[in-house]
Amino acid sequence: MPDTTFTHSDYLDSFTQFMKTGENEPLATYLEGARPIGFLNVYRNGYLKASVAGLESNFPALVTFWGEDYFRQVANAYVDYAPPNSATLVGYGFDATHDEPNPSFFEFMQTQLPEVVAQFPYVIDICRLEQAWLQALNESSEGVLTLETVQDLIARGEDLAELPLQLIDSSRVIELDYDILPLWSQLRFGEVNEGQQIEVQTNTVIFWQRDLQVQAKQLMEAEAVFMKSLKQNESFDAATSMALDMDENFDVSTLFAELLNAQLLKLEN
Amino acid sequence: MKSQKVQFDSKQSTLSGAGVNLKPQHYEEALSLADSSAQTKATPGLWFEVHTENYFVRGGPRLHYLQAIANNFPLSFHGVGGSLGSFTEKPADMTTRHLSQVAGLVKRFNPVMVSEHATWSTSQHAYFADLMPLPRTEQALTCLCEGIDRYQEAIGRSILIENPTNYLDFVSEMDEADFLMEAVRRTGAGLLLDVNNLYLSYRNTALDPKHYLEALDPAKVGEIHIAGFDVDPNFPNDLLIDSHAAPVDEAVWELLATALTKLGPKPVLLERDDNVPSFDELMQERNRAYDLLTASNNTEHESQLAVAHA
Repeated sequence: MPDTTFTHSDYLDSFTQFMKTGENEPLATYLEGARPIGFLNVYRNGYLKASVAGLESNFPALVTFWGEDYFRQVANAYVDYAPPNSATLVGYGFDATHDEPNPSFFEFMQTQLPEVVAQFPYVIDICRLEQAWLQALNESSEGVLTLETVQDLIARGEDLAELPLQLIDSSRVIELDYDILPLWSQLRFGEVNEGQQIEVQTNTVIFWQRDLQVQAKQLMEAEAVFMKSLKQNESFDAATSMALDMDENFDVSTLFAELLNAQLLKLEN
Repeated sequence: MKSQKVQFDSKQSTLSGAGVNLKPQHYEEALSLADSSAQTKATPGLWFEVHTENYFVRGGPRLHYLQAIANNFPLSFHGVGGSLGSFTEKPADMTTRHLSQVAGLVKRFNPVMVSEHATWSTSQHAYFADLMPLPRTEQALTCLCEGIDRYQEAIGRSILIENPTNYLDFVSEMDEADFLMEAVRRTGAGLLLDVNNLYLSYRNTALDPKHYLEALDPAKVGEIHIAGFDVDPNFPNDLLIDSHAAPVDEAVWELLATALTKLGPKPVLLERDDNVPSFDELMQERNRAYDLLTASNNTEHESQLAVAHA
């Protein structure tokens, strides 16, 4: 009879240790037959490959920017450092959440590979755009305020200024340190223009989902203040005041029409 | 006193025919077959399966297309991250979140079938994105059954559990087929027989597929999977990898035919997760499975007639 006096916890602990470190000796106890213990690498290789593939799906522009080989080298180090916490790899490497409390892919680079960040300081902006784009794509787009609804509200005598307006759930306002959106867009969706200049220039971009596609717009300073305020659940009035503090010529009526047309607004529940 | 669990019975299943695991790049082509007249003529018995965890999102095109598929074809959910075999060792909050998301999807899309693996993948807050084996011990069986029970309670219905691919022999107190049939008996679940996994376990660890198939109760087998594999370049004679990255091997087609003869007609799914070819190419393989299934259906029908007239 085989020795099965071990507990299931012991077995899982030994296997977990192997998956994290590649150290397979403690698993020898649980094996029978003459098959080489090195065949265990099938499991660890499969896990690493799937996790790196998850990161490639989540950071495709970075893959194009660095090339597959270098990206995979950095990604493998990240997987070892911060294995996925959630049984879906959609979002692996993004900012910490309750489901995925790990340091993000970029935070890992900052702390563990500072030389990489020093060489490519705008990589943080690329990561911010990758995360925001995918999150906007996978978010609910229900509850969009339509022109018809607004007309109906006006007809019922509602004061639009009093309505609890918010940006839709899929909207993501991204603050960037570099003027990187054009390059990111080329990396993500098309041909990269050689010799593209990347300027240090703080700017703000908004992504949102419309008709199952992600839209992007670079925001003027006052618009950015307005959008960030709305995203932080400030009222429409408060957001307008903050934007006017930034730019006294800020025209909320024009912006409201643009937001409505872009399907970026919803009524707060 | 424990209440008697409802036992899975494949005769009660409404899933039949042959399906394909659906990839986002094929949504449009799959839906182009949704015209009822075209589908009946060109692709009878077509259904689709998706990896449940790929739909853990709040909206967007994935859920939109999945709804369109569900409106037009039978749909099956195949979980890859449930980690049923480490259920008692997983952090409770991870389990709760995972099951809550699966339950939400099942409620929304009402798939014809829901399945998972008799393996583990999560331990100590880490998700190892692969399907790790269980030692076939009483303790592991108890843990697996608890995982199946909790999964089934969360979604309010029975599931199928899939046999693993074996690359090495782990310490065991029972044969794999007996281990799985006991898990099925204790939990009321059914079995998803992956014929490619069975073939690879035969080639890798000398598991006897004939004996294995004979040990299965056909009434408990609710679905069959087929897929392609890769030969490990370092150990070409000793190690075949369950890659889902190649067409189905001829030996696996043969084993599928044997399985259908022994178990009777079962819904068959073609899996392809890597090196994904064109939709047309996948459909050609799927159609071959459908033809095999139809042939086994006819054979079974003829033998039933023979018994009736005896």
